[in-house]
Amino acid sequence: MPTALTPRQEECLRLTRLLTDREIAAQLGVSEPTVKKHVLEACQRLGVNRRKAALALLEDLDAEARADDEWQAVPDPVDADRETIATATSGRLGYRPPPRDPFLRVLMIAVVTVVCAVLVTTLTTMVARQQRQVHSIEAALGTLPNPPSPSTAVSR
Amino acid sequence: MIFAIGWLKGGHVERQAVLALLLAYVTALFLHDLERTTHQFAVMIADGVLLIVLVWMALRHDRWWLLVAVACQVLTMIAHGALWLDPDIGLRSNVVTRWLFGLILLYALAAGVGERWLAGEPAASPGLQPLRAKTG
Repeated sequence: MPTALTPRQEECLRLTRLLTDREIAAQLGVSEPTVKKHVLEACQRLGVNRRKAALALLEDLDAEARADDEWQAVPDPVDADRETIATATSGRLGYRPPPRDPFLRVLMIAVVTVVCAVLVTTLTTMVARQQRQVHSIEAALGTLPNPPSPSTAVSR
Repeated sequence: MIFAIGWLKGGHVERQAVLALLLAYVTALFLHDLERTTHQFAVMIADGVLLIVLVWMALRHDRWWLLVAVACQVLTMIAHGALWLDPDIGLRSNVVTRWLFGLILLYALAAGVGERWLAGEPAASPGLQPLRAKTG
């Protein structure tokens, strides 16, 4: 419940929108002074003097609660475990955690290992080839007195 | 700097990784100074222990970056193994290769901070909690 109202107080306050105190009393099977008392206490707890203001406040709180429910899958994150929150919430920008199956994770690690190895090998090969070309051009232009062998160029 | 970011802005998983990596680096540094042989057996053992820790974390925690970190560490171990299998491989190129994989691992840790944010988890640092309470 969004406010500190009791269920009876909230029910009486909501019914005042459409019914008179007498009609509410008849519907709930209580006396009219009891209905008045519930409504009055509800107004006091919400910090307003008029019923209409209390109703408007209640509707605002309902709207806030609906918005919270839409954005938060877990209603009370303080009491919940952190890992449970992490898996229960969808995360920002459509983030999804990796699958929980250990076999799938190991498979993913293997794939990433191969991809990393290929990338690093390609990168180092490209750099080595470029260095070799630079040295061959420098040697052709005569800027280097003794052109290094390809193996020396790679090690540099 | 990446360690500081991981410690301050990361979640509990990133903090564990920062501790493990720091420990591994300091150990490797000492072992590297002590051991002057070509094969660097002790450094390989330290890297192997780090790999086990990272694999355990990758299977226990829900983080994509840990999968990349494990992949880099596996490649580091392969580089160690290559030095044993092929003695013609120069120690310098081997160390550079391992340094490269270590660098990718560090960037994976930095990406882990972003992943923590994407996952919607709060940072582990208690110093950031009051700030978030004020702004939130």
